[in-house]
Amino acid sequence: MENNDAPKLFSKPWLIMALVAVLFIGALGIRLYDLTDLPNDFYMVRQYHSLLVARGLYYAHLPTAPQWQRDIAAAQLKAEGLVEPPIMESLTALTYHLIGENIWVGRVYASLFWLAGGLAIWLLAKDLSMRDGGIIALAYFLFLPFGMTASIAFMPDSLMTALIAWSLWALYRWEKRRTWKTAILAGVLTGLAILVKSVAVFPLLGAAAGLVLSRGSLKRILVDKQTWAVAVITAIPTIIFYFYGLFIFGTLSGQFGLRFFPVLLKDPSFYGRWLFTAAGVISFAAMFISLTGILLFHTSAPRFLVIGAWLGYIVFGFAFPFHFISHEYYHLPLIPIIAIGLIPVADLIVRQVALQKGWLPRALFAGLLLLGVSMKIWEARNYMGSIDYRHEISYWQELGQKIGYDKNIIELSGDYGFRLAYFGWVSGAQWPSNADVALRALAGQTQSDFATTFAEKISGKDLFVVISPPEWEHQPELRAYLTAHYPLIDQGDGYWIFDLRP
Amino acid sequence: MKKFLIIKIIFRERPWMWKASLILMLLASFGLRMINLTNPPLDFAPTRQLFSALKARGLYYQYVTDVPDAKHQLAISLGDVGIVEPLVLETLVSQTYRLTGEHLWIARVYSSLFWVLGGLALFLLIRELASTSAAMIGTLFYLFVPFGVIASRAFMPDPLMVALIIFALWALFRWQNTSRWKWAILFGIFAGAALFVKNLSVFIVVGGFAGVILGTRGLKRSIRDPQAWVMALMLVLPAGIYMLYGMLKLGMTGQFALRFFPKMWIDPAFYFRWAWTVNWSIGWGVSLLAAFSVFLADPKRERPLLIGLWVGYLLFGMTFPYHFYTHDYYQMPFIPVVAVSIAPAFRLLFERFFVRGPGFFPRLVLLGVVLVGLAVQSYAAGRQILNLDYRNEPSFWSEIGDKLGHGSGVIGLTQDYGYRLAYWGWQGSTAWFTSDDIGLRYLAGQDVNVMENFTEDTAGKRYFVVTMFGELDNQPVVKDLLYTHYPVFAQTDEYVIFDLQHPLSQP
Repeated sequence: MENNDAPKLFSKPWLIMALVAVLFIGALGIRLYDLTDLPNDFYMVRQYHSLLVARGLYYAHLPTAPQWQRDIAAAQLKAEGLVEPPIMESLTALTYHLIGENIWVGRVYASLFWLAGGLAIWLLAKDLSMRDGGIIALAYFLFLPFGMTASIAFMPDSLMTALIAWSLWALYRWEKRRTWKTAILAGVLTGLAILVKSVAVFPLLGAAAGLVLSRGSLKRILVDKQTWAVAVITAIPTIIFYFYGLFIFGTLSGQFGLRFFPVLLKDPSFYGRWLFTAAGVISFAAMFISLTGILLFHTSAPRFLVIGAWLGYIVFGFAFPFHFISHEYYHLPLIPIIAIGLIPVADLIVRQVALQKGWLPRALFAGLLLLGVSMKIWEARNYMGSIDYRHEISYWQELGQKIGYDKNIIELSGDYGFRLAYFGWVSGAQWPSNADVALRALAGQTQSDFATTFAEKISGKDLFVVISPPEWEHQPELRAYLTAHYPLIDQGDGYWIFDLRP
Repeated sequence: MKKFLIIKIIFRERPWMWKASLILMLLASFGLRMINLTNPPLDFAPTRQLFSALKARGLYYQYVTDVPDAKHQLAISLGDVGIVEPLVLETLVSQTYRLTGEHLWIARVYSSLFWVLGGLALFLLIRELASTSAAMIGTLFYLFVPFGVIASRAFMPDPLMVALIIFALWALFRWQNTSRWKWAILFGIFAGAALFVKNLSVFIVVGGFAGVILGTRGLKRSIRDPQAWVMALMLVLPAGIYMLYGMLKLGMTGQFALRFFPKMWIDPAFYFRWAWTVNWSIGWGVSLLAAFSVFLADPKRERPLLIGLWVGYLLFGMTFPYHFYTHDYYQMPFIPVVAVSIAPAFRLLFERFFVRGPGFFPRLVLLGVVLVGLAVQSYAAGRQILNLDYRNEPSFWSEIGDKLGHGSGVIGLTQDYGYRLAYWGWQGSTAWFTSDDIGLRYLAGQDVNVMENFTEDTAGKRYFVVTMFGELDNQPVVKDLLYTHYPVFAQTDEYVIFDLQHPLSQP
């Protein structure tokens, strides 16, 4: 155990609380910057999915809306299916009822959840008796560039990451106190994290297993009632959700398709790409310092907790190899793990600063920390301010009107038609993009010949709408076929509309 | 067997083990720098590298007798691109050309060698300042940080300057701890050489020296100490004499223009840009760790030197605010500053790690973390080096040079102020302003009258050559002047040459 009489960075508790408060205020401030811009710069497909779900839930209870909009919103909600429990979407829809439909509501919630995750990191550092080191870990968690970008996205990952942090805190607290109250809390928070997004199971199962194994005796573990209780409480919410999704709602099975690509595991370059993708998210320096930090924990419980979480993350990568190198946000669960590994290293350094006489070293420490944070805020602010997607709203609205809300269409798009669906109120079937074809080829699926595929896809459709110039450019066969056989009834900036009707 | 190797040998600081590791590190880092050796030196600060390349060729051709006289004279005149620093590296390279023939990669070998030798001095410095394990980490950082790998291959005086700075700091720290004449003289030699090679080293060298004098030895004692006076004298003498000679005889005053912009100090964006430059070149995380680590150094023995280095670096940035974020190679001296500064933190980490008597597995993990870190840095640097291929450049510029006839009377908006055209095209040219140049002059409070400058600069010229079409688009007045009033003499997708001698109409 850490010596609590050791010198503290700031002898007055309010000073450290003020520093923590400044970090939280800065973290919230940067996340609310450029709030009303569209969420197009970070995995927009996933974010627009949530926006459509939230709008569908909102319009279901909005009798004042025109009937055609209510019908389309309901159809779009149904078409989106069930991927994860729509927790954030429901919360957002409820908020829409209070303040009206605003695209930024989901972003505010995501930001607040992330900040709450930071609180868990801070509390864990306190429970480890490494409060001073926790400041650095907290700053890392709140101001990591990728974290700042990802944590404003309207998708469940921000909440999942925060709950992973809370779960790790609760698991450690349970191990430290071994009371029923802490066991139930650990089970509830771990279960919630996995319910929000099931992939949280990997790091959390690993962490929990590591923690339990740190006790040493397997026999003692197996007869421990609290351990069984934590396991059962953790599993219940997800089991209920999957039962509902698979057997009652019925669409959940679809989300397991095109995820597992064992062929990648045999490719050495996959591991290099994994490492560099992960490092792009968490930074190499933090990764190596955090790994070193594991060796510096004073007791085995936190060490095994973090090692277990790391192993869980590695298993996660083996389970989803394609997504691990193509979807950066799959590495988000690593951020709280890295932050926790930073705590002992940071604490070691900060305590040495605390040993110095006088206020100057402390002031310089705080100044350097705030300089580092300010720089990251400035970088993020410049990035956010440099792009503006607001002009797209009118474009998609006008295109939706041109197409007509009642048309049955098929689209060639770069975003699965989400922006047209959301702003233009027009949804349609999707013609496969080049990336889709490549993904299916990687999965070993064979494709029918063009004519058969085309005939199947356009069956019953009124219009073929092309809204992605790059895809249009890179699909010469489709371009030639459409141009030769169907009239081009409208064309404009970035779109082509063909009439498929006889 | 493996356990024995890892626990008994690697983690017990056996002298032969760290010596072998050090040699391996130095050789590996040198090998890394030799990747893609023959690629033209356009991957980093190309203007500065080509400046040195032209100089070296000019010096070399003074000794070349088996070429036509016109080429002989042209090489010498193209090498007359002004004077910035003493031609130390250029002379060394040109003398090597006499043995091997003209190969641009020779400069790469020299620069890399200097940087790697600096690693040796750095290891010795950190070992004395902190510990052998910390020295390993600091030296690994210095040798393998990707920005350092790329920058240290460049044909410019900076790698040699940085190496000499490190040797000077090592001698300085030895002198601080021993007070022996030998180290005082060695400091004088290395520090004087560093300032002579590139006077910008003054900030770090004098910063470190001042830190030791003020913080460790004491000002009063130092004033009475003849060793300190000799060190100071040797420090300033070579560069001082050269500066005086340069200003009086070589007309070097021009190099001080457009460098000092104190009004940027009050612009917060300047500090953020500075920090951003540090972030992408060296890494914000490691730089912050280095800054925190200064607190962990021994207040009397170690910290004064470190504080001196940091203060010197900060003064360097304040003196050249514009260049500090537009010229990334200004950050090169900061690499050893960070490498030395992180040493106290790593000493503490290793102490904390070993004090608990860790077993085989934790030691193996630690070794693994270091090796993976090393592999990742090397891979990142190697990938950057390999991803760039400029081998098509010489033939491109040669073609333009042939079109222009290698004579006088050419003005151009071409890459690197016409140095590519001069080096590979054997064609001298007057460089027309880029939009950045115009911006810099506005920043310095100067006014640029484009029409007036165009008339003056094109007077008597035969051709205006453009290879930077983006730049031409940025200057619509010039673009309009050229396309409206002058016929195109030759053009492809990559260049256009306007005939200034036969205007279509008077501008």
